[in-house]
Amino acid sequence: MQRVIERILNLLAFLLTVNHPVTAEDIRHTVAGYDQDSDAAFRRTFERDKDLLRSLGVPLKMTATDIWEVEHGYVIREDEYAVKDPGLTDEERSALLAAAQVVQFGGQPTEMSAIFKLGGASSLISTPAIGADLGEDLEGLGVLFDAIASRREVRFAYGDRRRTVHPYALAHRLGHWYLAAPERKEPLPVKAFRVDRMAGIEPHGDGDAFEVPANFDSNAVFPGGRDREELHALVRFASDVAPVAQNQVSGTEVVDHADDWVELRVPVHNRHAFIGWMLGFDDRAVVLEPAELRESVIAHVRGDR
Amino acid sequence: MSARTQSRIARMLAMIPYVVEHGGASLADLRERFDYPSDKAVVKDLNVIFMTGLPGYGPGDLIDVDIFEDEVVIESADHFRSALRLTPGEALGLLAAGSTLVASGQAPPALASAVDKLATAIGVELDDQVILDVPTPQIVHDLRYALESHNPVRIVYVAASTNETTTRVVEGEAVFFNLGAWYFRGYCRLADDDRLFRVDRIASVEVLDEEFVPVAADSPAVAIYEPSPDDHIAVFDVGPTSRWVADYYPVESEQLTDGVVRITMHVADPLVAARLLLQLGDDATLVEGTAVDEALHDLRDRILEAYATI
Repeated sequence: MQRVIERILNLLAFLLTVNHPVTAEDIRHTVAGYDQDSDAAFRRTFERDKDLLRSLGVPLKMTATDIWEVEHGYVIREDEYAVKDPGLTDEERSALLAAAQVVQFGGQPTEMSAIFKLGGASSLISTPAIGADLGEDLEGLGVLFDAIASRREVRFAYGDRRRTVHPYALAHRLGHWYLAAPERKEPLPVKAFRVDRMAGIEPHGDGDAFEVPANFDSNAVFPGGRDREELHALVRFASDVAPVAQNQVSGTEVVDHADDWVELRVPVHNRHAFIGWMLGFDDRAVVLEPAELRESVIAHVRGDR
Repeated sequence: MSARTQSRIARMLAMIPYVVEHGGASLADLRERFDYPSDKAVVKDLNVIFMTGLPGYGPGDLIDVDIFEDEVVIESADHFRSALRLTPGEALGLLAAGSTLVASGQAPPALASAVDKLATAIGVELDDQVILDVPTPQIVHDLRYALESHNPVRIVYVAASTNETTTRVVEGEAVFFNLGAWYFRGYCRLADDDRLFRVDRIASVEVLDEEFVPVAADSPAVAIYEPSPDDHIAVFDVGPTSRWVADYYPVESEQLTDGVVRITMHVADPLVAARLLLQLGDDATLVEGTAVDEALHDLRDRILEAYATI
């Protein structure tokens, strides 16, 4: 392992100081550690090393070595390599470390390396007795996040199609991550794509490739947003389950109540989701109004939609 | 290439600029700051760094590491004077973790300023480009304060599986957010065992005026369903619009033809699977599971009966 680490550090040192693109052959003959006997062995080693550099976050790029573009070489631009130092205090770094330990992504905490890059932090801090898992792994989310910050196109497979979109915003709503992006060439309308249904997420093209329209309203795009059709349902709940309904949907109002039931006025943002939610209460909730919504529930239960 | 190699390199590339920028650092500081198990492990990595440098690889080209007593000085490492940028995943991970905790109202002020500085440095607008919606109801705070001061709570709980209400006294162990919902875990005196509760199904909380002795809990902060040999099994096919079930519930799934997915679900109470099938409607077809089929018919009858009377 030590030989590998030495070779990687030598390679990185060379690429950071050489100031012009260098070919694989240049690297083989200049950097200590590339003394493999055969061409094939060198190529295997070099490929692995490039992968490692990229997974560490090193912006290793390939570009023409001269204006005639006959040969291509590797380059790392120092301004792209260096962390943009946010100037955190020790206390702020410790607070971030604590947060990264209790908020996970798909069961994994954020890599400690993130904190190391910002200058490290004392791990001797108490973490709050609270935890959160925001689902999803960070790799795909990271690509989307980077594309949003740099206004770069992203590509992914969704349903049966591959898409190339202009990513506007990312949201964690109701337990899922969503990407807001226009589905067609025009900047609007914008659709919410579920990140866990995407495959093969990758950046495409250069940064600053598009502008987010000024009238884009992320709240209207993501599920659970407020700007939907204003529909309210009047529902009679058994008294003991009514508090659950009030906890789960904000904006409910008590309209009437007796000993064993409570009538709530419930905002409906999505009919389909509302019917599913109603059925979660079994026979302890009955939609009274509007009549057509009541009929929809009954039809759904009967199975004759 | 092993993950261990990668994390060692990541640590070295962060440690070198730190030592260079501060004109030296103590072994103890480096050990703590970069999470090394011992001073010896720090020295081991410093010795590797000492063997590397620029082509020529002579005395003037290699990185110079001096360890004098407890003090470390690094020179001739100008090429590593800056720490490496965050990967997009790392940046999002820190921002999301930080702002989730800030939004919960349970974070120190330093976290809010850290998140602001980080978002500014990365060039992203929180609340506009990255929206984290982890609504934290008051009940979450009540439960957390109670468990931190070791007060048991009396909760009225509406079970998700049966919609039945029970009143329980619980000695809290953790409050956490998972898959879009808050959970409360603790020792339940009624069940005489650890139990997991969904916070939005807690109808009321009363903090009791007594103290319990906390047990060291190391259960994971996730809401995982643990199957039991007495479970009922439901096998059902779902169409393309209900494929999310395979992602959302702890089930086994198998891709059949034409976008149909066959789901195998283990449930303690057949009603749980029956309710899901009823919610999915005609997009789901039960293939196997007699008890679940009976529960489905019974549930359907009960709901239609309720609609017939009100």
